[in-house]
Amino acid sequence: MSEDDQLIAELEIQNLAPEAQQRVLDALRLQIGEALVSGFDEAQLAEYQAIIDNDTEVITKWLADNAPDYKNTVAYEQLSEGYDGDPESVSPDKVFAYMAWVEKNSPGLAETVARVKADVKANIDSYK
Amino acid sequence: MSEKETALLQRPAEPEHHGTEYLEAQFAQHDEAPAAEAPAVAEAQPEQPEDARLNSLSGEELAIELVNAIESKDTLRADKLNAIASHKIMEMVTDPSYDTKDADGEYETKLTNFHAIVQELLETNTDAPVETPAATVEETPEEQAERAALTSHFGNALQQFKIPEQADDIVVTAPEVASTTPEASTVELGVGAYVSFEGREGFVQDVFTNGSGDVMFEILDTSGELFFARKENVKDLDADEDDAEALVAAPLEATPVEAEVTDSSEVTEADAEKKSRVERVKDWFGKNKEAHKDKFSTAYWAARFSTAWNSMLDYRTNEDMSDAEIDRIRNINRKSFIIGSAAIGVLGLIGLGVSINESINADTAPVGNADGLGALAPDPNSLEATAAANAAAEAAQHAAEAEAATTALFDIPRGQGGLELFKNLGIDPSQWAANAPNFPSMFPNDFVAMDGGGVGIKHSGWISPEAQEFIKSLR
Repeated sequence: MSEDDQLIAELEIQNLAPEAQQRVLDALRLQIGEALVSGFDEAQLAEYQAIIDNDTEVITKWLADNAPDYKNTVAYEQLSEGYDGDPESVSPDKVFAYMAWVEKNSPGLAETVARVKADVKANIDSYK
Repeated sequence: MSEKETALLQRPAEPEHHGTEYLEAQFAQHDEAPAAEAPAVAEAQPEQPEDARLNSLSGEELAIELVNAIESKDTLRADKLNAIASHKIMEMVTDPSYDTKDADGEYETKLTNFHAIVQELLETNTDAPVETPAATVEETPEEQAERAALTSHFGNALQQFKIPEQADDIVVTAPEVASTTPEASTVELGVGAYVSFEGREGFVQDVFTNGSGDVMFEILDTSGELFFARKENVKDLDADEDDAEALVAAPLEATPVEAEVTDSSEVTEADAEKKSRVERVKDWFGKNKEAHKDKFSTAYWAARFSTAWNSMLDYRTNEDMSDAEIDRIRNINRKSFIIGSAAIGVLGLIGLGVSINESINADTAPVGNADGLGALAPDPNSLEATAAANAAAEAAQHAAEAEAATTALFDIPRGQGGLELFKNLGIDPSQWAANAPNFPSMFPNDFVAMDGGGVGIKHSGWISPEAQEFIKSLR
């Protein structure tokens, strides 16, 4: 089951049309992001912006400082697979950093996501 | 796509960032007008009385409210009402009790009807606000006749838009059956059974007896989290094939372990655990890698701009804003969306017991090796750089890592249960059953007595040194 399918099951929106499901999932991701962003300072936001904008210098430094052995992880191995044939050439270092940074900088990650998910689900349920 | 949207798509990496002051201002604005510009139905703020009132309105009443909002130039309210109407129509045409073979087409038709009604109301009412469709005054006989015809048209169209009321109109779906029907809860269940408890569904990972003599299930739910429930309180979903067939089909794939399960009666604990964590992670990336990489592809964002229904990027923008301000908010939305996407991915991995920051990775490497899968694919350059000349240092490092790995097992991933902790530490699971009932009083900051009678770990992350020492003493 993909991540989206799992979220759809969790939110119990299997009966919605695919477009409506996608809207809910988009909104969920956006609101989780907002909830987390509110806990970051300006320097953190700048660093993350640089990572997702593919600033290789920032990405390399962040990974060296925070996950020096990242290339030996299963996650990186998987992200690197097929990279040469990737038409978008999205750097595996960047994708790794985009997730690792959030994990590293969000101490209340699980709780925040759970809270936003519950809010979104309650909101959806209120329409039923 | 507008020129502005095209420009945003083509814009190179934006050097500026938005500090907390700006974001706080945005959040404050959000607090003042919750849900007004939210994409569709999802809104993190608690529902306000006014929201509840709007959500309870009929189609006709919503149309009137919308006309009032438009005529008073209240864009935020109009957007909100449009979103409510859109969602209600979607809910109606996709409800199992609504007989349609073409929900998408029906949705478009009804939404078009709704907007036509609003438009006609706007055209027939020159003075705001509108009280009712019949509130126009000083009508000529011709106008009265026209309004009568219009009202009749409204009646037909709005009748189609009638939202089903409560249970009488709504077919109870499989999830509701599963979570609310207590019968058959005590049939023979065991490891590998697919069950539900208070709306959560998952596979039984372990069965044990707690200090009170209750038979307890450790259950891995479809989001990868472990929880406990008394056997008597869970429902066997496999036994309800008629009700839950479609529902069960999807959660069977909830994790790679369960994906292989086709007959729960044949499932053993060994089967459930035969896939290593490394394999689970590989499976996870196999299913989700492209979706995460997509967040950085031009095509992904272009599709979102060109899809009329998707207003995610325009969340919290309005017509009165300058193009620069709209672009700035869109960038914040994009960034928040990406952070939210990453967060969900990270939690998916944590649910498998893996931290992506695993250089820091105490879980992945030992499991991979223990399962005989060999070393995780190393970077060739890294290997070359650390080869023979550093053999001695490497050995020392491995020893340190092994120790760190043991200690790191007390860094509890979200959703891990005490039984799993004991197993990971190599402690006989019976020790958990024997000691767990005392943990909430001994270590109240780390353990909690759960409603179902079991004992759970109170928080993710490191448990207290005192608790660590005590648990180590049980080895």
